[in-house]
Amino acid sequence: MREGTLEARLLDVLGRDAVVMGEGVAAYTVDGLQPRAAVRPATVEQVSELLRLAHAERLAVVCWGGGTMMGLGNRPLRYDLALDLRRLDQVVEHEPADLTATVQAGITLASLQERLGRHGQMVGLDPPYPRRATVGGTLATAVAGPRRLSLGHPRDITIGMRVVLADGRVTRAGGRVVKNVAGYDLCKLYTGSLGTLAVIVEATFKLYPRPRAEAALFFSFEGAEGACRLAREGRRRGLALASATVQRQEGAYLLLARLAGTERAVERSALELHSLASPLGGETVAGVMDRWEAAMAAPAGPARGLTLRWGLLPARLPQAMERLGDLSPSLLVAFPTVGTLYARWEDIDDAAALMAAEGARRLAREWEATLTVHSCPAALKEGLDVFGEPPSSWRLMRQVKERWDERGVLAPGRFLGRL
Amino acid sequence: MPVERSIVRELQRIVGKRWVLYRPEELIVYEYDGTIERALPEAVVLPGSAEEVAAVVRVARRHGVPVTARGAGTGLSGGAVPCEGGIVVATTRLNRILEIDPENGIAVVEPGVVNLEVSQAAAPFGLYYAPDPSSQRACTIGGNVAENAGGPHCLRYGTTTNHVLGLEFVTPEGDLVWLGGRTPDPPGYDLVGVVVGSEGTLGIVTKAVLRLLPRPEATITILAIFDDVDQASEAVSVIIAQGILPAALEMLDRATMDAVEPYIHAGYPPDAGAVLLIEVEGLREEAQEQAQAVQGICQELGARELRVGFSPEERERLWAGRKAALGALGRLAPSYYILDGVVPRSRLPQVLRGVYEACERFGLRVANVFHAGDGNLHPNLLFDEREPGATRRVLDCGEEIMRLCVEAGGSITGEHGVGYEKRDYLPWIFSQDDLSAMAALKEAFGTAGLFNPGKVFPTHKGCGEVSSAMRKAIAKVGPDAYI
Repeated sequence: MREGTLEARLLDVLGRDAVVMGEGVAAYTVDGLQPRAAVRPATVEQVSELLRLAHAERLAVVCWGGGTMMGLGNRPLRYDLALDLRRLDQVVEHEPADLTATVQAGITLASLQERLGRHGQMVGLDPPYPRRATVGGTLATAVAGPRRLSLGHPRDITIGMRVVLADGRVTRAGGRVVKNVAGYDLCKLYTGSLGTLAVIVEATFKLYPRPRAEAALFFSFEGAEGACRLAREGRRRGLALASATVQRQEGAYLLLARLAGTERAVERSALELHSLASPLGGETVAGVMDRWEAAMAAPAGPARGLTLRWGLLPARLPQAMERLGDLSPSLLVAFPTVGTLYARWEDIDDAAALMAAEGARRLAREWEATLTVHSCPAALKEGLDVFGEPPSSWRLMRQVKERWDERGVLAPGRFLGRL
Repeated sequence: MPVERSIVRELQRIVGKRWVLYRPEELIVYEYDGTIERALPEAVVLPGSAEEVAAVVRVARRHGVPVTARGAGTGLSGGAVPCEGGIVVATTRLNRILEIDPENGIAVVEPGVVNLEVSQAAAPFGLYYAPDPSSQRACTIGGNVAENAGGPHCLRYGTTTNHVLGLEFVTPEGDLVWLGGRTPDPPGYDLVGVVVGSEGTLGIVTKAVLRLLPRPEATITILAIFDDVDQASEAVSVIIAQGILPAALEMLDRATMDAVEPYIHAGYPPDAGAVLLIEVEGLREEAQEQAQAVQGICQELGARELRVGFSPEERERLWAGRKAALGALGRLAPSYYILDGVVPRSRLPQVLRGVYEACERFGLRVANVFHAGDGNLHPNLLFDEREPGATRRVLDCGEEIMRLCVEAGGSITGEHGVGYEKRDYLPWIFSQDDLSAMAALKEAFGTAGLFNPGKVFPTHKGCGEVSSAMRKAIAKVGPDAYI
């Protein structure tokens, strides 16, 4: 379709204020690729119309939320339209007495938490940069910050979804009740699918009550073992740990433990962590700057540096951290009870980054871990699949992609195995 | 299509002669599950390894014979009921706990392992497996995975889907693959998430990696006794609305207690209108504060009596009574029909009133015993199938109750599954497009009707039709049923 025709069709579907063409599209660059147009629909119907058009014309569509994770994923094979969902920012239904809420995909986490907070509730999503990160983006990337320790993974709290399929049909999965086994749980399939199967436009969550008390504790250790062990021991004892992060800083390993719960539970948990820390060689320190957000972010735009993410068995983390610590990363952050490890090198040229990524792959095999190249310069993505080698179930995944998006409308090439 | 002798011989070559059953007298114990539905398979295979399961699937596929996987047969939606003319893959011999890894909080088990055995194996390390269906002494992990089994303590900890990290899985092609794994955030689509709860229609699980949780420091059990059901269900709604999430929050009504007490002597008051069996867990401090808050709410809503401070034996008896409630109902009537619906927790009092009204209108006695904190209702309609027209009335009443749940914004099944029985109700909550997206998953897996055809979704292939007729004859549950 020629540019003039494309513009006319988009204007027809969405109206003037929802279509960006020309210079404005530069803001929607993904891995060095600019789309032909960006669209900002205000209704689910418009999203549906748009996908109908894209499906008929075989246009490739990449979804956008706050752009905090757009660096994650393989380079799209084609990129015609940026679908910016941030105008879909409504709370559709919040029934405080049910501890559930249905919201549109474009609402930011900060804004949603503020709304729920008025009723003493919160949603258990914990992406970096919540002022920009949207609900839809958090689900599509399945990004879970350190509070995953207490709140679970996005997949565990999402009880319903409304999505627009590649051909524009609007469908639902799950429901609005906290327990439900009616039909296949397609919410799970869409969570973490990086916009390659469907466009998430609405989600229903089970909510948590807000904790009455919170506290933050910081401990410094010489080695990673003590820091990780303290966190795991705290969890084993059921202490009121909301999150635990271990980060390497100036050669030391810092444990940042956040506590949440009732006043007495938080108070006792703090005392117990303190008394557990000393025998493990930990010293209490103050005023530590939490680096997990910087480690996890994979912003859009020309990416500098290299961020790698490993998924390990938690018990292997200390050894892995020490090993990587020797390679002088600018950031080294782990969630010690979960087994997630982020390492970032800020100033690294492409050749060195490629070598590092290959070396990281070898380490992953040695550690029986998974490795994702979480963020890297676009040029690097030419030669590698950022998600690594396809697993034994890859054929099923390919068949799912083919069945859901036969025409390659939804972020083609962006997923594992360039699906 | 009947299984021919040549297929039996092929199966025997894979698993060994003694592990293929095909004589009618051997097959009869494999014809049922916790529902009334029955169908005789042509053969039952008992493989001893994942590779054997895969080989059996390849044979079945080549001959176009449907396959039904079977654990303990305690399911409540016909998931393990064979397809007529099909073969059953029983996981009886795949019953090994392969690994308990306390450092990483993981268990690796075969599908035939009994649910409770996982917690027992993990107990020396202070760990346990959280999902606790009432049938947990009998039901298997494979079945739990297939049905996304719940249980009383799922209120706080979530259902099976929240505790499965990875699955070894036989695809419809007969390939052995891993979905997910032991480490967090495996790359690719979350196929574990869709296979859990797929009711045996996508493939057969041959190993499961399960998450183990540390045992909580303190557990406080509270029995709140009410004169009437309305007060009790109000209390449930208020507890949730105040943001209190107990570990378990169960309700038993008078009819249920009438059945349970003479049989189990669990300690439920015989003259109460309803009781709430509540458990709060966590650190001592936390559990105590929650217990006080819960008791305060119950008192305010007119609880006649609050009992706490149970000994471990007393607690176990209360739970034994709760978990064996369904079996006990047989004392009240020759037949009963179990319903499984979900409503938003704020609507519980209203819907429960509707349930009693409907039953009165249909002239049926009802016993309610259910996961109140989740809004997961289990009305059990009591009747005598020999009485002319009784079965019809039960089915009509059941359908009306399902409608009440859906109209309140709920679901047609919270934990038992769709199976045959409820596939016609799916369109009440899903559009044709919603359902075709689900059906697309089956196509993507390439099942071609190989696994449990006719369940969850309607099909034109043989065994669904047989059961459709049987569905009309639903009258009572089998001997191994639990809710």
